[in-house]
Parts: sequence; C-alpha cells; structure tokens
Amino acid sequence: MATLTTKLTLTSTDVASDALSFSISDNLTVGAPSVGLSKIAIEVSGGSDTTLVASSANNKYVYVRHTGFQADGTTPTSNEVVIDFGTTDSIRLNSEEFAWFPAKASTAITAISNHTSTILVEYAYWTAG
Amino acid sequence: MATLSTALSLTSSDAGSDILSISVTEGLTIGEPFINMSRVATEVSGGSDIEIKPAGSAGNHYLYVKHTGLQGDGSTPATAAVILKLASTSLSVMVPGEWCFFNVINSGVINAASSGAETLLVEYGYWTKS
Repeated sequence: MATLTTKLTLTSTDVASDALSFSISDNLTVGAPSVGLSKIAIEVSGGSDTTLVASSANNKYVYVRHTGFQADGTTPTSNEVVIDFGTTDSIRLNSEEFAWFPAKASTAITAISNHTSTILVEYAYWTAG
Repeated sequence: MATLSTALSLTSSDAGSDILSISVTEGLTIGEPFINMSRVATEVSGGSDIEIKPAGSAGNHYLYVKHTGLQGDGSTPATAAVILKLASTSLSVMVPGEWCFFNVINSGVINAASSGAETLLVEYGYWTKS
C-alpha cells in the first residue's frame, strides 16, 4: 500500500460579495492496479469510446485532464472531452480543464471527443487500498 | 462573469518507482447560477436522494463535493459512504474525508445518497461555466 496526497484549492475575488478562498487536502491509501500519469488520444464523435478506467473489484481515484491538443500533440482543439460512466454522458472537459473523483468499482469510465477533432487526454488512476 | 481559480496537486513518494508530483492550475470563467460552499444532509440508504445540483440550460457546471466525515447532525462521526449520482447512475463513491471536483454536463441532475443507515453531512458547491 502507498499514500497519495491530494490537494484542491478554489479561489475567486469576484464571484460574490465575499471572496472565495478554499483549500482541502486528503491522504489516500492506494494500491494496485494503478496507471501512472499517462496520455492517450481519444477518437472523434461517432468513433469508438476509449476506456480510461476499466471496472474492477475496488473503487478507484481518477484524474483526467484535457491537454488542449489534438492527437498529434501540437494542434490546438476546443472540442470537449466527453466522459461516460458506463454509457451515461456525465463529465465534460474543455481545453486544459481537469477532473478528480473517486470512481465506483463496477463502473467503466470511457472518453470520446464531442466533435470532429481527436483529443489528447492526460489521465491516471489508483485503486483505493 | 467572474473567475474561479483552481489548483490540484497529487503527490506520492511510494505509489510507484518514480516519485509522483502532479500540479495543475486553471482559471475558469464562471457565471450564474452558482452555489458557493454549502452543506446538506443526505437521507439514510433507501430514503430519497438529495439534489445538490439541478439541471441547467446554460453552460456546464463545475462541481465540488466532499464527504465531511460526519453524520447529518454535524457532530457524530460517520462510516457510511456518500454515493454521488447523475440522476440514478452512480458516478462516485466517497468515504469520509474524500472529495471530488469535475465539470458536469449542464443537463445532468446530481444527487447524493448514503450507502448505509446513517445520514451524512455533505459539503458542496457548483458554478456555471460562462
């Protein structure tokens, strides 16, 4: 078993009358299977979904980020990454946006572009220990 | 419109042979509707789901949710997990202290429920992408 330290910070000076300044951290016990920081190109809309996280016996901690680029790694794209839980369209990532979530063990997580560009996606996951 | 600055870091010295150190930041342009940091109690398993983000017609929604580690009374430690659902599809299972942050499709309703016989105090906020 290993320890994964996570931290999220959210700040805004103009969202409301009060400034938003928020930070949270957590130490997670993680184990195998895991996939270290990786990149993969996802297909255009209408193509095949790319599995980022397969279903398994334990919950997983998942990180996904839209790199802002197409599959060649250099051409910018504003297409969205569509992340499905099973077959449910759930998360949408625009260029350079990220997601972090604990995922249910039995649910496969897949990704596909919402339009005509392939998208280079950065991702990683760890199994909850 | 306003700006929500986000930063995520993931670090580990023993999750693999390489030391892990991921740090990403992003400035998000946001607008209404939004709900800044709020808290709500779920019902026990088998009860009604609690809606923490409604469907919207504008942009997608940046959503933060945390299992506070407490039952609905705000003081009794909890052991049950928070189940986060998009409508009835389970997206995430959070044990006490865990949290998530992601961008939800605007048409999706996000509900929270308890995995066991405890009500659970959930912290959450969401902001609409502008």
